[in-house]
Amino acid sequence: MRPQLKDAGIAIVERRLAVMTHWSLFGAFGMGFLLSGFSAAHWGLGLLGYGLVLVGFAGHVVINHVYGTGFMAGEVALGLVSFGVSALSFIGNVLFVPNFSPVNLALGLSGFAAMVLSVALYLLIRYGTRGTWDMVHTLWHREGRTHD
Amino acid sequence: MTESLVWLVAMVALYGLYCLLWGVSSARLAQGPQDFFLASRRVPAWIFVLFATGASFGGWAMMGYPALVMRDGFQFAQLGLVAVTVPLTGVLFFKRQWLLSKLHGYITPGEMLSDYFGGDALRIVVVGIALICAVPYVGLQLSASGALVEWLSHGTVPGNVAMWAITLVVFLYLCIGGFRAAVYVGGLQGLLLCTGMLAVSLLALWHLGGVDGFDGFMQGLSKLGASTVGPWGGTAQGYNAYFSIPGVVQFTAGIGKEMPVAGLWTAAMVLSTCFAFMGLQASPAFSMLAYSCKSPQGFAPQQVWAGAAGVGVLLVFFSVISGLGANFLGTSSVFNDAGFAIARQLPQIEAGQETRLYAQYLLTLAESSPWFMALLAVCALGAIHAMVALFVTTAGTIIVRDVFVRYLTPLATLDEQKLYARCSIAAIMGSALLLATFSPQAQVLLAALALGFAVQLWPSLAGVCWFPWITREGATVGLIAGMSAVVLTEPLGGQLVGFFNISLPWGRWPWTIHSAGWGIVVNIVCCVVVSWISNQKSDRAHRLGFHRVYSSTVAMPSRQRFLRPVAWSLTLVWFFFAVGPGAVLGNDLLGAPNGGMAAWLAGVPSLWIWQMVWWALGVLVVWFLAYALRMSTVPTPEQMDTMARSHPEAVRHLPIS
Repeated sequence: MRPQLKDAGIAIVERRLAVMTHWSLFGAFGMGFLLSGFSAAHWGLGLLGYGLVLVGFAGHVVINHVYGTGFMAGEVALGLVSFGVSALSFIGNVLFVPNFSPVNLALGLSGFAAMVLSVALYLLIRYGTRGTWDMVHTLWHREGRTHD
Repeated sequence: MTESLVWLVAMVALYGLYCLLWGVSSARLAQGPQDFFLASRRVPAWIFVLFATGASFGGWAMMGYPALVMRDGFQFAQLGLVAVTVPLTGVLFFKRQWLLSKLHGYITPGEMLSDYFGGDALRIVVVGIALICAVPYVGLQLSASGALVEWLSHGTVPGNVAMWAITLVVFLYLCIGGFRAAVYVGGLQGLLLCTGMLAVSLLALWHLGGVDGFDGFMQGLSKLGASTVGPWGGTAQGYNAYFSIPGVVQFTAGIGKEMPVAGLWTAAMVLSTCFAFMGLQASPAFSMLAYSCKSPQGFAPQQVWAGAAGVGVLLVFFSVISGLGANFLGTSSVFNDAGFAIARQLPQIEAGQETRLYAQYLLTLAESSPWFMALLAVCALGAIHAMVALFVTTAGTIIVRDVFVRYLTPLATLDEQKLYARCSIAAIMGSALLLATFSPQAQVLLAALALGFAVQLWPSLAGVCWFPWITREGATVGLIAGMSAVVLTEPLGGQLVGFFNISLPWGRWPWTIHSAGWGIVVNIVCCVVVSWISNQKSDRAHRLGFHRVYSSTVAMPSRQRFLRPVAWSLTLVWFFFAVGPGAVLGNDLLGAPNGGMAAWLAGVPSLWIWQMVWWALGVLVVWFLAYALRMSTVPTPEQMDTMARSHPEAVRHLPIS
């Protein structure tokens, strides 16, 4: 392998390492607090969990900035799948668990809202209003063509 | 299988997968044996910062330190200032060693010492030190990881089984990915160390009264200070020994012959134990970690912010709460009987079992939040493995380069060297495991030598980096004499001379001075005297060649040279008052320990405030040396130009140019 290609390969791996190291800490502790918050119907613990997940997201953006990249396709896919599974399990719990705690309901709704807002805020800051709209529009358009 | 055990197994498995993933990724990146030995000398600054912090403090800071604070109180907590003294070694030696390794292509410190001083004696001794650090010391760490799993599973998983299983994972990722895998996984391990220490301290505060936990803790201390309850009773001044350092020095015959009065941790003991810990960053493993760095960019942040400041605040403030707070949570029968327990959240811990404290804190989460119990267990395992990974991979490389290639198979190709390194890693880890499983007492005896031996490299490294007047004979004689003094002031020395029917008149650590302290004093005296006798012009000219490189590349600009005496004066003053004889002033300078909160400045015991103040000043001292004196910063562009002109062959090794 030529030196330039090797350096580029190492840079990519080190970025991935930074992302994984970062999420291993904030993701794990964030999920831990979320579990504690929901199992004990405790506002403080749950919000702390969401806070750590958001710090994880912010840290990921900083890592992208340092390495001069954006989110990788796999990372976006993993994020969307995780969000979707969490949202579905939350909705399932609300609908089917008897006596679902109102604290947990509020906790779940506020957490998901905070995450959606954070991602929207990131897109607006990174790409601007028009850029964000264009990106979403392009995605829809591409999605449509694929289905056609 | 209980829910907490399921979570524990799942979390440890996830951690193992993470390690293996990076082992494989590192192997796929590897371009040759240089990669396996030193990660192609391209370790980025941020990974160095995290890994060096994790490997410097490791399991001791997380499990050992709070346990001994619980047992011995604030007199032991003075050792929290190792957070400042450990990075000081790095400040003195890392940058210059890094430069030499770039210029001359050294892979092991044995190669560097051999090239600088000439001869092979030092190389052989370095191999011995690396092995003592790698086999018994690593075995001790691995035993701790197995014991932690056994305690957390209430004995369902035997300690030895856990130790072998976890070590297998560590072996696999190190064997597959080499040094690069060790540093890549080490990034997370450094973070886990700090997070675990912080989390357990917050958990202690929570048990002590939730939001008001700190108030409860301080009131408990106030009540305790007014009494003489505790394992060490009271001092001559009538203070509780938990709250005061028991004198500058006590001329006792040593543990096993004569116990000191009112506690072990005299100022002399604290200072000499700090010397022992300073051996960590003087060890061959840390020299190789410095060689592997892409540039010195990470040295100063690690030493100042991650080490002295970050770990410092965790040791000096937070871990004191989890350690001493445990006495108010039911761990001590003496305290419970005297009515000091605020809440009986923890079970009683027998004498000699203090290292169970971390596990006992975690077990309080087993019912309510088993996932956190498992997560914090992984924090401890990660912290332990950071040190293990560094010592094992570097020892493997040292055996290959300084024994196989030097003496047995000089014509070995690089790929063969890599194979030998893997075999060496397997042999080292296997030996450590066998020692830990079948001969734990021998392991403890040998492991006690590791740090004391490592700090004996100080004069040799000082010769390479700072003092050209230190000769090969001086460094070698000093090193061997120092190591002998270490052995003779540890239990192993007594057993060795016992073979000849001789009984030493002293026990362990006579005059309340740690074996590392005895060793370094003997070492320095021998080194200076022999160097003075053996100085020859031709050898000195060879050594001066190395030092001329420093003066043209990493030395301070002449306009800042006046700062040098200021810096060294500040450092000496800091040592005297923070961890030296002056530390006894902290016993009651800021309020008598038995006066209660009303008599204490800011309502905090005098010795604790003393420790916090000198910790903050210590961070300033390390900052001053690392940044203001440029002892750990990246060379300036002018210095790099000078280097390129005077050593054109070095340019290809210097990616920062």
